[in-house]
This record gives sequence, C-alpha cells and structure tokens, in this order.
Amino acid sequence: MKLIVLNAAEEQRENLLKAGADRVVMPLQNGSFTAAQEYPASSFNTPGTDILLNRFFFPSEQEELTELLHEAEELPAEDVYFADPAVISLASDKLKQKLVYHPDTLLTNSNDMSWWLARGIRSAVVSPLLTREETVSIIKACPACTVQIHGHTLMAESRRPLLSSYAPEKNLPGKRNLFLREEKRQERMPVYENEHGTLVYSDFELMSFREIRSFAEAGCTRFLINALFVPDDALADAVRAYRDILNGADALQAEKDCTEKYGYLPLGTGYYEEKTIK
Amino acid sequence: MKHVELLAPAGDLDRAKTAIRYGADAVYIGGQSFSLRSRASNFTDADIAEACAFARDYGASVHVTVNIIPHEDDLEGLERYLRFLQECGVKAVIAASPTVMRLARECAPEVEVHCSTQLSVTNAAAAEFLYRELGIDRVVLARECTLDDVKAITAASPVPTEAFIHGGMCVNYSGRCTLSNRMTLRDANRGGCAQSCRWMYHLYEGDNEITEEGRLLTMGSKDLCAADEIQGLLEAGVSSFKIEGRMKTEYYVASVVSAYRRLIDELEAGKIPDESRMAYHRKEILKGENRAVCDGFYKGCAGADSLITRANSDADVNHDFLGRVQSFENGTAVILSRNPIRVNEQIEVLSPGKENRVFAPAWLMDENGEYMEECRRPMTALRMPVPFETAADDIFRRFG
Repeated sequence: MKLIVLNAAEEQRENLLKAGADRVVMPLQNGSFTAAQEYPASSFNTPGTDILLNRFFFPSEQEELTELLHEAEELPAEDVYFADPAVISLASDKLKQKLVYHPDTLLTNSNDMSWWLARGIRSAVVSPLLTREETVSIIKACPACTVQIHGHTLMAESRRPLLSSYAPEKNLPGKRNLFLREEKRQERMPVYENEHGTLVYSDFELMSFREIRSFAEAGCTRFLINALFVPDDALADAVRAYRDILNGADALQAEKDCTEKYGYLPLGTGYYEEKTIK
Repeated sequence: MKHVELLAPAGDLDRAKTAIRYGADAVYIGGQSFSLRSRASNFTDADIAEACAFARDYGASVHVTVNIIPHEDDLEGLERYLRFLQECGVKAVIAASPTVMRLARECAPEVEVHCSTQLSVTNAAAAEFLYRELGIDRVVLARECTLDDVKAITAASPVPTEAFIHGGMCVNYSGRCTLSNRMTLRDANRGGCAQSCRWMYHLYEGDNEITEEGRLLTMGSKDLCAADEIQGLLEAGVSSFKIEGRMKTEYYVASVVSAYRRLIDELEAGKIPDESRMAYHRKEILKGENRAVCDGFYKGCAGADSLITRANSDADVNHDFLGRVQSFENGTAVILSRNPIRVNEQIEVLSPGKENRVFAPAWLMDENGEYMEECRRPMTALRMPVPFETAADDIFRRFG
C-alpha cells in the first residue's frame, strides 16, 4: 500500500516519509502548474521523491519539454505525474514505465482508466468528482489506478491571468494565501496565479478515513494525499492516520481525532455522497 | 488554397437546416445522450436522420457530439447509438473519452472520429499520440492556442486540425473546470455546466478582502470573434472553422454563419479585404451577438480585455431579430414576429446565398387583418409588403 503525498514541499519531505508516506511528489521547475513551490532537478535526488510534470505544453515549448523529459528519465524518481498527452507521446520506453496520468477531472470510468493503463504507464489517477461507489467500481476493474484520498482538489485551470486581470496593481501572481468566495456562499476556495495561468482549488479538504480501507479491499494500492493548503502538522497527522488505518486501526476514531484536532480546517467528503447530475 | 469547412452549431433540427441553408459546410449537433450542452434542445434519433438527409441534399455533412466525460453508468447504449449514427450517414463524432473514440472506431468504422476540445490539445505531440493510439481523424485544438500555436500544430500534426473562430469561450481549459459541479452539482463534463465562472466572487488575501464594493470579480470570458484571424488560419492550413453556440438562436446561426461564409468565400477567391471591407465583415458577424467579443488567444495570451467584468443583464440581449418568413405571395410576406417592429422601419433581409437587402414596410397587418403602426407581441403572424422576392425561412432583422 503506497501513501503518496502530492505537491509536497522539500522541507516537508523528511517528516512526511517518517510519518508513513511512501513517496512525496514535488513539482519540477518549468514542468508543472500547481500552487505548490517548484524545485530544480537537483532536489529530486533524495530517495522517495517523485516528479510532478503536469502542465500543458505549447509548440514553442517543445524543446523545453524534451529537456524536462530527459531530466525526468535520468532522475531516480519512481513516478512522473503528467496531464498533457505530449508527455507520453514523446517519452522513451524507460520513462513511460514511470508515468502516472493525472488529468484531475477526466478519468471518471473504468473503461477510460483501463485504456490509459494499457498504454504501458505505471498508473493513472481517478477523478475525485465521483461517488464512493463509482470510485470502488473503477478500482475493482483497474486495481493499478491511483485514488486521491485527502486534500484539496483542483476545480479549475485557466491559461488566463484571472487575478492580475482584476487587480493588476495588487501584485497577486505567486501569492499562496488568496481565496475566492462566491457572493451567495460562505465557502472559500484557494486560488493561485502564476505565469502559466490561474488555478482554483476546492473549498473543502477531502478526507477518506472511512473509505480508504474499502478502497484497499477493492484492490487499490496507491493513495494520493494533496499537501496543498494543508498545514504541516495536519498533513503529517493525516498520513499517520491513513497508515494506521491500513494497518488495522479504527477508521472512525481516526476521523474523530482529526476532525476534533483540526476543526478549523474545511474537512469534507467531497463527492462521495453527492452524485452530480447531467 | 484548399477549401476550409465552415462548421456551425445547431441546437435542434430547425437550426441545423438554417445553418446549412445559410452556408455552413457542416453542422455539429448533439443527440439526447452522450453529449454536452444538455440544455440545448438536442436531437431525437429521427431528427438526426432527417438532419443527415437534409445535409446530403445540400452537399453538407453532420457531425455529432458524443463528448461527455462518462461516469461508470453513462456508457449504456453507446454502441447501438454509434451504429445508428453510421447508418444515418453522420460524417463524424466529436469525442473526448478514449472509450467513446475506441468504440466509434469499432462500431462505426465509416464515421470519422474527431478529438474534442475537451482534451485540450495544445501541441502536435499530443495530436500524434491520439492519432497513433486511437486513430483519430481530426483534432479540435484547445481554445488556448495562439495563431502561431495553431500554425505550428497544424504543420506538424498527422491529422487535420479544427479551430474555433466564433462564439462562447470557457475561461478555463475545457474539461478541466468543475466550478459548476461544486456550486450546483451539475456536472460540467456531462452537459450540466451552470457557467458558474460567470458568477460574482469576492477575492481575499488571507482575511483581507481585495475586491472592492460594487466591483466583484467574475471569471467569465467575452465571446470569441476571430474575423481578423480568418486569413491567418486559412494560411495555417486549418481544415475546419468552428462556430460555438448550440444553445444559440436560429437568428444567431443564420447571421453569424452567413457573415463568415461571405468572408471566407472572398478570401478563398483571393480577394483580400481592405480595412473598410473588413469593418463591414466584422459588423455583419457581430449583428448576431449578444455579448462583448474578443480575439481569444489568437494574438497572444488572453488578458484583462478578454474578460467580462460584470454579471450578464437583460441589456445584453440582442433585439434585432424581427422574425422568420413563413410565406411570400404577391409582394406580401408573412413573418412570425420575434421583436417589436414599426411601420416604415428599415428591415434587412437575409436570404441564403444572396446579398442582404433592405426595405421599409409601408404597413403591418396582424393575423386578424388589423392594420397596426407597431407590433410588439412576439410570435404574431405579421403581414407586410416587401418590394422584392423573399422566401420561406428568410430572416428579417433590424437594419443599422
């Protein structure tokens, strides 16, 4: 069973591995689009470190992409998370075996998941927009999939500078403490802008203490925890709790402990119990 | 220069016929399952068959969107549906799910598979992958591509490219936005998009509000109008120019399609329009618009001037569509009215394949034979004298 912490910071890595994470995934400089800090290739030599290479690439960036793929292949990372099909298109056979397709919103059924897994990649990440039952169904059909179990989920990705377009004088790009609130709602959604565009994350921080064991029993062995906007201590505690549950600890007690200790966080069950409509 | 396909949207059979009559080489439509834009009227199986037959008569073709990102139980009946589309003579399905593409290849091998913009293809390597692994016949490029990107991708792509030239734009990468899912539980990737990006938002830095009172943040995009990029897109070798708007009216379809048809025909005939002629084309294209427009990403990354900074209001609604001709006999046309019309008002007539003509009716008469100075009631069967021949389905609009 692998607990994988996505969007981790370099300084969190040691603590997360000690807490029970098997891998930490850090954004590779120039190769990712995320609110997390990016790191140069030299930061990826530490054991247990995987690569986030998830941005879209445009024709003028072809050379840059080729270099990034070469770097990713040479680094000791086990897994490379990508979203642009150009990555798998240009990857060598060696790199292809490390690839994990992570398009955030697109993998919503077992047929598509099977198709991607049959492309010779390591894994692909199930969309977190699904009910518990839909997620289990995909896992049963495709046990090599990866499931996000904790943290904020990506809600929107734009190439446009949406924040600096609104308030150019405020110097908002790069700031990690910005939030949107829809005028009739109370929930706050983290929002981030950099040179690649703007990202909006879910107002809720997904938790799956009650679900992880049923996901594991269905066959899943790869669980993703998104570190973004989760305080260090809460993140490490979540990793510990999931590891303990996988080792037989009481899931309900783990959820109670977490929600009591971190009652100020927007912990929620996402779409597990809320089926979206067409 | 090869002939580029002008691909128009149609929310129902009537609009499909209108688009084809007014010069679309192809229309794209959605069936009642497996398609985004679930609030568009969408076509029954019988409608699809009729649209294909109608298109054939005009030498046009029908593309069908099968572009949902399906959940586990959304695929039931898909194979039957794909076979049915082939039997109807549908030219292409537009798909985003590898499963849909694969099944289309297996069940409907005579139907082309076009990769939807939902997959956000922004480079030729991605197109190459989808061609190699799924055998796609065409790729619809992401709306985030600049004109230079389109040129580079089209030159290197193993399959023809399709680019949007007009209509609504998602502010986010298509397929990667779930604002609607969260706000309304309506799944944007399964046709339920509530356009939550266009709502009003407060912006905070920590606990401090950045947004100013009376000026909240909205993420809505202006519509795309690529009139000025048509020549560049033609030179790039793009195979199909797509107009967005399956939710739009027959007036929008007729107006926008006929205006682009005229511009494209001129360019393909080697007539490079001067600035005054381009101003005319722009004006004609925008007559069907309700919203502010921008040139999207074609000139570079879309910035502040591509965004709508306020909520939509009734003031945005276009009231120029006066009605569609039902019949014409002995110099008198009967139209089904849509917006207020006055006696002696200048009216422009759009007729498929003809230059637009203008007249001013000397009288108006309702269905009860009553003369009137002004008709303000929509859907009135309104009679008026027209000094030239018109025909059923011609469009009357306010001139100016």
